[in-house]
Amino acid sequence: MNTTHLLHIDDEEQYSQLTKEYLEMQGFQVTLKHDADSGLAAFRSSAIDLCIIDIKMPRKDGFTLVEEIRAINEFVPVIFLTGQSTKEDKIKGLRLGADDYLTKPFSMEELYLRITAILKRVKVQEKTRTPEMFRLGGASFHVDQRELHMADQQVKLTSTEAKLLKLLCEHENKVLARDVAMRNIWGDEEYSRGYSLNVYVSKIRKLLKDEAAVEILNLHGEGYKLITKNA
Amino acid sequence: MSSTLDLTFIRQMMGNDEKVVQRFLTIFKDQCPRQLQELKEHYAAHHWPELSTVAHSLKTQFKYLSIETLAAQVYEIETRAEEPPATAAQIDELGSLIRLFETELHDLLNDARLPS
Repeated sequence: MNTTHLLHIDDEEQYSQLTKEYLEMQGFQVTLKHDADSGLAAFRSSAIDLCIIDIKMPRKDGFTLVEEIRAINEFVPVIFLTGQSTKEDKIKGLRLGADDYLTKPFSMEELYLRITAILKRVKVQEKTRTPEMFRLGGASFHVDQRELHMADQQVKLTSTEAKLLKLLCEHENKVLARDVAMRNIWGDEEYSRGYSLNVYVSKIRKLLKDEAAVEILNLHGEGYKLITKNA
Repeated sequence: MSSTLDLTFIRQMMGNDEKVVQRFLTIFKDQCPRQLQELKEHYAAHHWPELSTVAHSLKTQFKYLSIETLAAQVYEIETRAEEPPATAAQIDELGSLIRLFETELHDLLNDARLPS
């Protein structure tokens, strides 16, 4: 059984239901939304492997939605569906990191084949992109398991703690700007998030307090810096 | 407009799954009159972006069914509404296009040869 989770966002309610059913028959898990805002909410609350997004939607178009998705996740593959594919649309989509375009009307089989081709490519890229584990002095952070392994204990992190620690690790010895952290964790930079961010940084500091080689600096007005003295 | 509906393309697009094709046609017959009503309401209210979006959605359905004349008409409506009509004459022209489209759509929906 394929457990790949697709997010399909198309304002055309009834026909997109046909697409959803077809893709489910191929073994995918499909979440279907009919406007950009509910699509973005679904993206935030689930682990999505690939997005299929209609460009022309009322209120907010597919391009704007993908910009918002990219602020949360830089890498998730996106297939744009479009009524008429102009050169300008293609360039705009490619700039946003679209992986493919499909012009309506499209064949269900073609959509399926394009999805599987992209997922195959992404799997290869993922292997070379994200380390599964970061070393933090004597401790190690296992990203996929969301576990922090220390000499005397193993701690299961919450999803938010894990996202923050991963960001800090990816910015090791560099500044992690507050706005970048908030966008990546919560998808926005609301003022109230600033307080939550401070709380989560304090939690991670506390967890790593016995690791002499690890320090998280607070750079006032800028963000945070994870300093490690890894061998 | 030809009253014969050619289902070759839609069958091809739906992987020759006759059940899916029939569901598509059912949705089409149910949805088109409602979307036509929406077109008229948006036109009356001068809601141009909304009018353009509804026309865009209709266009795709006609393309699936290879009804090129209606696809072309509704594409014209979509593009004219995209660049909001600025003069009374342009608004009237758009209204005429919608009325023409309405007549042809009624012909199609009343056509006994539209698969049931």
